[in-house]
Amino acid sequence: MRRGFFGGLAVALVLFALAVPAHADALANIKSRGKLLAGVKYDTPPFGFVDSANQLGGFDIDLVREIAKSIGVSVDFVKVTSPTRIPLLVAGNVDLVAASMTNTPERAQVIDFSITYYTGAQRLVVPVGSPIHGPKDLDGKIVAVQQGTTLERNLAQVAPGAKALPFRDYNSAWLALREHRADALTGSADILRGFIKNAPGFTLVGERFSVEPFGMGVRKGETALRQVIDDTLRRLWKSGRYQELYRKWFGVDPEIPIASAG
Amino acid sequence: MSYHFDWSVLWTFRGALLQGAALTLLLSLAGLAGAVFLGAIAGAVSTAQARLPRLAAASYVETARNVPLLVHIYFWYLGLSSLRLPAFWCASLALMVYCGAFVAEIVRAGIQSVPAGQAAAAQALGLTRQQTLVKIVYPQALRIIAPSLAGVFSQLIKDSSLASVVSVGELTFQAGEIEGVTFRTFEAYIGITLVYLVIVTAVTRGTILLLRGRAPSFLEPS
Repeated sequence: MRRGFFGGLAVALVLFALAVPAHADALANIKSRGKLLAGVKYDTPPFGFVDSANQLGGFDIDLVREIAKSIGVSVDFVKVTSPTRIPLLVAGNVDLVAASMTNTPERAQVIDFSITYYTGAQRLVVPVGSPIHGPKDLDGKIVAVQQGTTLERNLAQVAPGAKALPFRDYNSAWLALREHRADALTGSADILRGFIKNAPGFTLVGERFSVEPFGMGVRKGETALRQVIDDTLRRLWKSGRYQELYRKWFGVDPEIPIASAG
Repeated sequence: MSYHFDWSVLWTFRGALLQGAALTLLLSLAGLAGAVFLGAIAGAVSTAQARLPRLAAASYVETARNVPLLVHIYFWYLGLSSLRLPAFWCASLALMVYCGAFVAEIVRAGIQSVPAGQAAAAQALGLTRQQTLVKIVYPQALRIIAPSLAGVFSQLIKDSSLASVVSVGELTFQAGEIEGVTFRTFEAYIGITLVYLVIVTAVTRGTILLLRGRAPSFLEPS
């Protein structure tokens, strides 16, 4: 019995060691596979969301399609949420992440970021007629937020008296506000606008209380892939295609350039 | 593999883990108490001789257990949001109603599996119907259903992890918080796996011990 057990264990360990891939070049893998695996949001308008016709679309999605075109491959979208986007990238389930992700020093230690392709602002959504007019009025109030985001931390810094109610995804947080489980919802302004578009009883309030530079993520050390992303983004800016997409999804012209004009 | 384990995050966030474990235990206890109460009543009622109580119990069992637990939770939290029940109680009620249905089925089967001769002998000895049930049938049923009940209890503790979707700060939720700050996915989830293992093992062994009055057979010296 003992010998059989250790023999089996040894075989399992060898198989495990073989199954672990050696450090590979993601760009080369993508090209040989003919497909780019992109982690995007499915529930965060207007960055990545499934509309009423069950079509996946959004600013992030359109940008990723352009990147896949640059590499010359097709793209498979993988649903991620804020808590799962970095784990899935690190584990290799996706090659890149374009999921309304803020570039922060802590995250930059774990993954590599592309250039900033969007600059967002954190604001609040409240029911119309609410006494809350901005982050100063949040003392003792319940604020719904998505778990695993910079939004949670910024809220704690700007309104330490507020009680944060973290949810696994944006939609649940939004639902909590709609059902009056929370007094306010905090998030990125453009995302919040997407939610309240079809909900007349809610409004955006308060000045922005943080600046969120969004970047696309790749695994640490995947310089070739990151270079392709950066080059594509810069090319889109120069050709005007980036501005076109920005207007399509946000309704305004981009204020902050993502690349130098020269 | 280029992933380097850093187990120190479990120590740094031991407060959050302890908080999570405490809430998991509280949630499970509330759910267990309610499920046992509901299930015992429903199970006993479903062995009644009158048709209407039996039908009532059966419809409770079928409805409750054929709806996913997550839907139960959302029903209390969002569906009945006008009640403004705190998230903890929404999750507890969902667990009580859902697991109560499983307990009811087990109790019913247990009662029906006590040999009919027992009740017959009790009645022959002059015991009333109520005395028969309480002193003869139910204690034997309890011993029969002990392993199945332990199974439902272990499932309930694991199901309590769903409360994390309505922002109850139990173990799974805390793992999400730890991972959100440190990006240490493996460590966070392996950590709570171990805690769940300990809790579930303790409760299942304890249940069998309590209901059977002796240790489960695999603990006895061979």
